[in-house]
Amino acid sequence: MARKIDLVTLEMIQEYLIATVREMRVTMIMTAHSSIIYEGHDFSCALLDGEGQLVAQSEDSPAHVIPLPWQVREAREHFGADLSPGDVILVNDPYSSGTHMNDVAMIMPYFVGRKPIAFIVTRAHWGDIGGMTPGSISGQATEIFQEGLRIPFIKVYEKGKPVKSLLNLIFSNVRIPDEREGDFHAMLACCNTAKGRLDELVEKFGRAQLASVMRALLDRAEKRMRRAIATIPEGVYRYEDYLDSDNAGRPVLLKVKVTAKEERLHVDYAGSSLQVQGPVNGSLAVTAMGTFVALKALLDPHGPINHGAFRRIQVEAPKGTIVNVQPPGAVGGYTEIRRRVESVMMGALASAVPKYVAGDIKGTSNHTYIGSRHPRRGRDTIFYEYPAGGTGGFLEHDGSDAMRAYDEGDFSSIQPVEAVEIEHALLIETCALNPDTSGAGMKRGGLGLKREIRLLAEEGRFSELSDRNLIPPYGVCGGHAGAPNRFTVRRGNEIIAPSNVPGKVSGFPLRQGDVVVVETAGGGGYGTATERDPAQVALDVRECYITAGHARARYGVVIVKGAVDEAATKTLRRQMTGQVRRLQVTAADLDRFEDGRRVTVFSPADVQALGGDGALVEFVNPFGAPLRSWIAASPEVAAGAVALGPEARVSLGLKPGDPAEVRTLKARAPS
Amino acid sequence: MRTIGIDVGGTFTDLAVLDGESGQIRVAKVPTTPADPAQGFADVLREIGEDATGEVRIVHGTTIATNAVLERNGAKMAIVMTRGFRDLLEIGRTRRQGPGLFNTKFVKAAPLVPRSRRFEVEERLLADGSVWTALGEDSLARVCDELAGSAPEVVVVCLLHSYRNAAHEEQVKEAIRARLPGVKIVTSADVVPEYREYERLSTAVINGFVLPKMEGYLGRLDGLMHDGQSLYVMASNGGSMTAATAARFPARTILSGPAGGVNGGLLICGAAGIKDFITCDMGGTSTDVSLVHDLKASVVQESAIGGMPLKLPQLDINTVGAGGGSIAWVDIDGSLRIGPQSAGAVPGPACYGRGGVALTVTDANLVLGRLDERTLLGGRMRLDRAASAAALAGLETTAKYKNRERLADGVITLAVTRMVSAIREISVERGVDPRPYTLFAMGGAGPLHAVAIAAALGIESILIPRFPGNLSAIGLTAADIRYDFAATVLDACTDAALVQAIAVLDRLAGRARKRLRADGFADGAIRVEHMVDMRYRGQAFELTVPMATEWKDAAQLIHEFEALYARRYGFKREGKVIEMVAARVVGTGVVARPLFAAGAIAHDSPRDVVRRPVYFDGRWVAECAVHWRDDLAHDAPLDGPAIVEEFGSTTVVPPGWRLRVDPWGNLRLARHG
Repeated sequence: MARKIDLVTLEMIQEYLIATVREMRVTMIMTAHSSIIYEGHDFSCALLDGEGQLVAQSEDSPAHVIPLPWQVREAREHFGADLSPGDVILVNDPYSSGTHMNDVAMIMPYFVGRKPIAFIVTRAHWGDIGGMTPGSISGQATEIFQEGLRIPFIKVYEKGKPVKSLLNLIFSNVRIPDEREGDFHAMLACCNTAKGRLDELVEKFGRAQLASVMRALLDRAEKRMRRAIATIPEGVYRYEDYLDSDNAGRPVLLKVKVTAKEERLHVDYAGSSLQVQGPVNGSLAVTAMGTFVALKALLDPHGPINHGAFRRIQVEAPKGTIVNVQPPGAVGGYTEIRRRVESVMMGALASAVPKYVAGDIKGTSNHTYIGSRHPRRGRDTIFYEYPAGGTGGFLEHDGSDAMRAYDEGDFSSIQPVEAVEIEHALLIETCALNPDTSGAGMKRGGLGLKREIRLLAEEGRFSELSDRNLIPPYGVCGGHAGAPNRFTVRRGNEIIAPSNVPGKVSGFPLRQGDVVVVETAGGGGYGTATERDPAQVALDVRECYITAGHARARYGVVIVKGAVDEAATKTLRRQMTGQVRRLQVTAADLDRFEDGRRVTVFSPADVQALGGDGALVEFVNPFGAPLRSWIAASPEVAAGAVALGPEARVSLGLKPGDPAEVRTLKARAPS
Repeated sequence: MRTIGIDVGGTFTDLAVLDGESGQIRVAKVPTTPADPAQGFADVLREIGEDATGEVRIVHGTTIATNAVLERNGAKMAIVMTRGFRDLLEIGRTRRQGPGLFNTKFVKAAPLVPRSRRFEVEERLLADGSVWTALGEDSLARVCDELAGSAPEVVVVCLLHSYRNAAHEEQVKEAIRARLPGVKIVTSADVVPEYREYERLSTAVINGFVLPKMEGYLGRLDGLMHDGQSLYVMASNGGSMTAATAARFPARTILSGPAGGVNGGLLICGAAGIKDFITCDMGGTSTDVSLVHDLKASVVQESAIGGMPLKLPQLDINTVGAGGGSIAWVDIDGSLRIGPQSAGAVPGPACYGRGGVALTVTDANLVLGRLDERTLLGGRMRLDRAASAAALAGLETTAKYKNRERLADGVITLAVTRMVSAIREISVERGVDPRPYTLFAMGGAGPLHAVAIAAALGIESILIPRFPGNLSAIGLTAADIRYDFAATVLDACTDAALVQAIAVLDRLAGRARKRLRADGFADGAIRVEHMVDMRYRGQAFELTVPMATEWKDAAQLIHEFEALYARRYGFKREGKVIEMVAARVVGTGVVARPLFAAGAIAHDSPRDVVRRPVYFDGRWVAECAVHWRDDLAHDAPLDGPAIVEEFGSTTVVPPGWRLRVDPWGNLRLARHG
């Protein structure tokens, strides 16, 4: 048992540790050579204790900082006793708790005496790590070897001396090696800054006290998370969701089973799709990160982040799946699966903590590129943005319109129009909130964004890496889905789909005058839409956030001259409630999945009414997230009945004999 | 000639009058009258009687505009924008502009102008200022009709690329003026003539939002002025401006609150021969810190208020939500925290006896003997030590802490740790070593904690000015008149481009001189500085590079930029194109600044040195000497442990520190032995 730590000393040392990480960050920004680090802040810094537990971090993006402890733990196992003062470890291996290979981690063990009492870690996105394409991340990659140089755990400094041969090897295999070397030295400077600060701390408080404080900080965070987990009723929770498509156009299934027991959560992704040929696979560390981000958001958004908060959470996924990729699976676009892990976790626990959950978000990065030649400057330019969508509605409030979501840092996702038009031969004609894109609900989701970009140059190319173009962000507790993301090209009066796989566009040739229409997803709604305060609906109509048609169809509110027609609304709402399609649940032995999708069988008449064979529907969960399924007809099923397998019944909290509300998920009509 | 500074704070309205001939300062203080701050202004002027008459320059620090924005209580507005962009105010750059990481329930602040009062007009300029779509007359007429229907008090016109060509904005303005006489109109290029449409719009909207309120308030003050009195208003950029300018650009006052303190530092440290210092202004709810290098306060070109960007030059001040009234509490995981909740003026700390029960930093100081029951306002307000002790006992129970004094000391230490972090952010984290700097401590609570803050930063020298609680008002008297002018010049930094940029700078300089002459400044009192915002191509932030007027070739400017960049970021970047982004001109009307008087300070009868127990470093010093500041002799150093009290503040001198009074009456503290 650690000796009792003084409360004030504890706070002071915690403040000092966080300040140390802040200084690491500043050192990185001040000394890095590539703009993705000093501008885009695509890096993280952290201090871990001697056992590799994350003790302190600062304003880092969760995607970056959360996998670090997994990586350090593996490094400790790899080197065992073979670590000395002055050693510096470099690693980017995705299969060793990394993300993608551009994220290179540097680990510096910090010694007092013969034992490392801390690990100083920084991880930064290198602008290039070799591979088939400049920048190393390609939507076309099918195996890791195309994505650049894979660095297993290696010592690049041994006892304070650089291992020049290894460094030469690395910098001989990346593009623009000077810049990479600059970034490498920035990482080194960053770790040395922390080393100096830790020296001061040890001098002032002593090693033993510092170690006890770190332990106490971890215990405190564990206690906090344990209390939060205790609010989840014990039991099993399930959910499933999809990436729209691997690059061949097939949906990618993601499944989770969460077991809450004895103030612990066991999270298992068994049943998820096998790893795919494209670059959207994630390592187990990425999966753990997505899991943690969702749990943190649901259970304790304001508490500090350190390893104590992870202790009560165990994450597991079968090897060789999309959530635990094995060599030689490609991983460049891992952020897509990370976002879906978050959605599926939120969906699973929605019914456990409906007060805390919110409708789903855009669920993708929306990387948008337009290449063109600037006529006056006579050079090629690439326009790049990653526009935000609406956020989900929740118990107390509507979601926010076109805003960075809870799982993202607070950086601008779009550039100033005036800056774009100075730099590129483009004219942004519209940047607006997109009416009716929000998921309807007692509290509605936020609206998505619409951005129309006209090409002024003679020719150009449009590329897109996006998801949630087919399967929209879900609403919760009866709320409707938000509109999915959509990317089209307008040529004169014609609307063109720039690729066969929505959201995955590679170099679509643009002509002068073509307009790229970017429409981001709306947030999912919360609660039953027909229970929304009609005055709120009328306000949304007056402010043109929704159309009168949408108010009528989704909310059952009749607006006449900007005001609610109370009588007509009452009648319409009663009528709509009566028309809800409820089928009686019967038990199927198994959940049926075909080609990676859930398929539910209905009577031919019901299938007809739900949009026909192969249509996408959702089973509404009044207390949680809806279950999505494709449908098929069978004459053996009685009209008005639906057979659900055990997993579906757990997801929805339904037993045989219960009524299940089913509704069609309409594809987004062209604008 | 006399200069009067009047600073309206949340609790008190402070006044300082500086006599230009004798260099003597006189101060006064009255309660603020929140419902009508002009009343407090009149009250405090009355306090000084004859000193307010004759030729006087009155410089006023006001938070009218700031409060209107924070309380979202301003004008009913409408906006006219380029077709396709009416949602710009709401979308911004899609940032949260608030702490929302991991928080699915974060809600973005609603825009100051609802969608139904944001209108679009048919027109479009290109980036070079040429017309892509002409301003549609029908469309404009329709917008005017819609505006008439929505009955706004203020209309903001913001059209794309107006920083390059303001003709459409002006045409729209004229059409609205003709159609809706009496409605106030703000055009974006008039407020911020620079590119980046969201920041320009947001600033113009904030300006319009507070415009009627500020006009009304300044009109009322104008009515209070006598012959010979001229009124100036403190601006966020550290200078002052005429009341007429403030009425037109009230947004320029929004972050002016801490500017008085920084000017006070410049005045006092300048007189005392100190060039590099860090101001630390600790009040009841928050603390403002800023760094002054070579007697130049640093200025930033953009900040934010209430989640809205404000693109106007302003002093670089870091504010931390911890002050004397900050409440100590225990979080659910057992950790001890200070603030950001503050007891404010009502109920105030527990010791105020107005119903506060939570322990504040002030209570902790009282329990440890650092403050006295009769300290506040020269004894006009008595503090209740028993109430503080009860609050401490309450915290002791929730924190499960055994040692009462150590807990109180810990609360102070944690508050100090917050200040230290705030100072590290503006020094260490910007590549500046704070140790050679002087800590300039002010505000009611600054001198109480100055040594602890300095010690934690390794700072060896502390200056505590006279009247530390009135320093903002004193600073106001020292503020020059300052106008900023800017224009976007976006281009690579080449000799040819520089010729054009210089032409822009000369044009702006001409406007600056004209404006200052109109304010009555002779050419000899007008200073004009040229600056260029520069960056490496691909960066989204700029550094403002001072430029000597005789420079004609790009190499000099580039060299200066690289030197500045290296100072800030440790090195320069090789082989990157360097761009000029904006041309800036600062016009300063230098006010006659009296030499701050040295010598003894007139005061009432001397007070005996008293002794009381004070807690230092884990033990009680039973008979700690408590001095009255005015009685301290100039040539007799005072070694800690000691307490120095004065009207409105208390200075703590711990063991190991020595205090002396300098010729200007400042307290100077340094390590001793």
